[in-house]
Amino acid sequence: MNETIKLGFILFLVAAISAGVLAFANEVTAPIIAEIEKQGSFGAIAEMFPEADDFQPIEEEKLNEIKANNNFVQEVTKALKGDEVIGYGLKVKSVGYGGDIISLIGINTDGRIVGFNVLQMSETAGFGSRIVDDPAFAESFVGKSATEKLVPVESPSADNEFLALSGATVSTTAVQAAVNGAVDAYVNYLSK
Amino acid sequence: MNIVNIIIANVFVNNYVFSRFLGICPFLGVSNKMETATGMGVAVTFVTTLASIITFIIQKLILETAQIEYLQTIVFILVIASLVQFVELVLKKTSPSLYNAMGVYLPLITTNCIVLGVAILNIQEKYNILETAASAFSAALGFSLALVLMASVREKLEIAEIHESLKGFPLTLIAAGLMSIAFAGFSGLM
Amino acid sequence: MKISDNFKNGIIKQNPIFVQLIGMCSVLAVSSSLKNSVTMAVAVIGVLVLSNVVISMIRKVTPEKIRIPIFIVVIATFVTLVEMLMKAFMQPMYQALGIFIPLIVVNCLILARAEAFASKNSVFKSAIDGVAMGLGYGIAIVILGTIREIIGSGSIWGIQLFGESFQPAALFIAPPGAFILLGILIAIFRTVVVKRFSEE
Repeated sequence: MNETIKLGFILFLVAAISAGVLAFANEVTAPIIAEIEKQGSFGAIAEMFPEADDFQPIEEEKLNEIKANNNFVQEVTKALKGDEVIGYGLKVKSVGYGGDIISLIGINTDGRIVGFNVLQMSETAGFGSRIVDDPAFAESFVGKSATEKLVPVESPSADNEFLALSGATVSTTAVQAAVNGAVDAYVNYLSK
Repeated sequence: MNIVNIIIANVFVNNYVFSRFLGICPFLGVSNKMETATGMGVAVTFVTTLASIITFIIQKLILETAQIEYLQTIVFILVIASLVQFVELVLKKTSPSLYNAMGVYLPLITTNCIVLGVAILNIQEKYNILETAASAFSAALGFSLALVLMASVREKLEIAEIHESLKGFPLTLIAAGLMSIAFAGFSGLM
Repeated sequence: MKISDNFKNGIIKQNPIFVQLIGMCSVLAVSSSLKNSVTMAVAVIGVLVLSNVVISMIRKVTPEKIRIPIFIVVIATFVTLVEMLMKAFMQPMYQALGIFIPLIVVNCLILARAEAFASKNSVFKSAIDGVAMGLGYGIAIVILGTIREIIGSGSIWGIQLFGESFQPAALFIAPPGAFILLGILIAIFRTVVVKRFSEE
């Protein structure tokens, strides 16, 4: 019995030392990580609205109202130029082939999509991952109307069409659902 | 519905061995005979499910409450290691027949990355406890399926005449690659 | 044992990937591009060397019975440290490697070296062993990563090698390509490299 206590104590001591080391490392890195994550989400929006000089989350009440009626929208950030709102960055989530796809869609106050950017995904490399790897995919959203539902086609030209990735139907459909979720939120809540 | 999705995804579409590359070591190590493959499959399924549920509870009750999520890796692996020891002890005492079937594989499970991998992924995906259990069980089921399929292929390969350099693991890996292509065909299921 | 023997062992005779076939999960998973492979190799070498050193340092006071849990705690501590540092300073890379960073804990290679080498040898020798074995792992993953990226995406380190008209074989950055290519590489390594060195 005595030995068990001794062994338990040694193991506890080792674990305590390691927890101490990690607590210290966490103190040092946690603020940096928080800063990067903040920059990460604003950075992507800033690229979509180069003329904006400030970004703020929309009022919580409004966001809750949107979220209550929309399964895709996670966060909405408004892009400001001076005091004027020039557009919105909508963070949307949908389920793809390899789990959640989180993307950011920028819509300006003229009702046009100004940017599409996948923030996080784990789609199959070489197939679904082309939603990130193939720049033509994201570009096919830019300039499209944000007032009607979008559909994927092989060679997009019309105002409501974006590029369908062959061999990545699930990922394309997931993105379509998310983008249309953002469009819906814009039409029904943000543009009013 | 979500739970059904998780199960189909983990067993077929995103099979942990063929598309996520978890549990490769035991997959290569014990897939040479059907009998050992089944034994390992059962043991892994049992431990993975139990480990995921326990780590989920620990994450919610202890790590998140105390805001020490950064200790996740260390706590989870210790939980898994002690769980494996505990299961081994209990089986030895209560059910010698089950211990004979599963016992030899248990020590190998601690370093099977599926167990830790699923536990961490469940937290990342923000699953609730039911989804966690379903996800862990189906992940291990997918692993067992891969193991049993591979064992049946390898038993045949044993008697095939092949070049010296390809014997054993190289050919097993190539066969795994071909099987992985076949599993990619399940992608239409979702 | 001479230092050069250590390296010969780690990189050739006992190469963890090509010969011992341990620690393969991450090799298959993250070798879809050269950049990912190099980062993973550096992370694994770092954890392996540091944990080897610490385990060797405490080998005389580590009770035999609970040595494995102690090894695991030491390894997990370094893995978490690497994870924190990558999150803070290499965020995009951290995202790319994902779950395979925390899973370094269960990379059998590291525990195997702790048990087989570091717990029995001096600090200096253990550090050398860590570097040698880590290099063996690193070389394997980098070779695989280079071939997969060239064939699968037509690029190297993210730089396109061929013109627009080149159609990369996406199969090679997808999981099946990883399995098949590693199988072929092991076969080649066994027949060509290991044989030559054992004849010496």
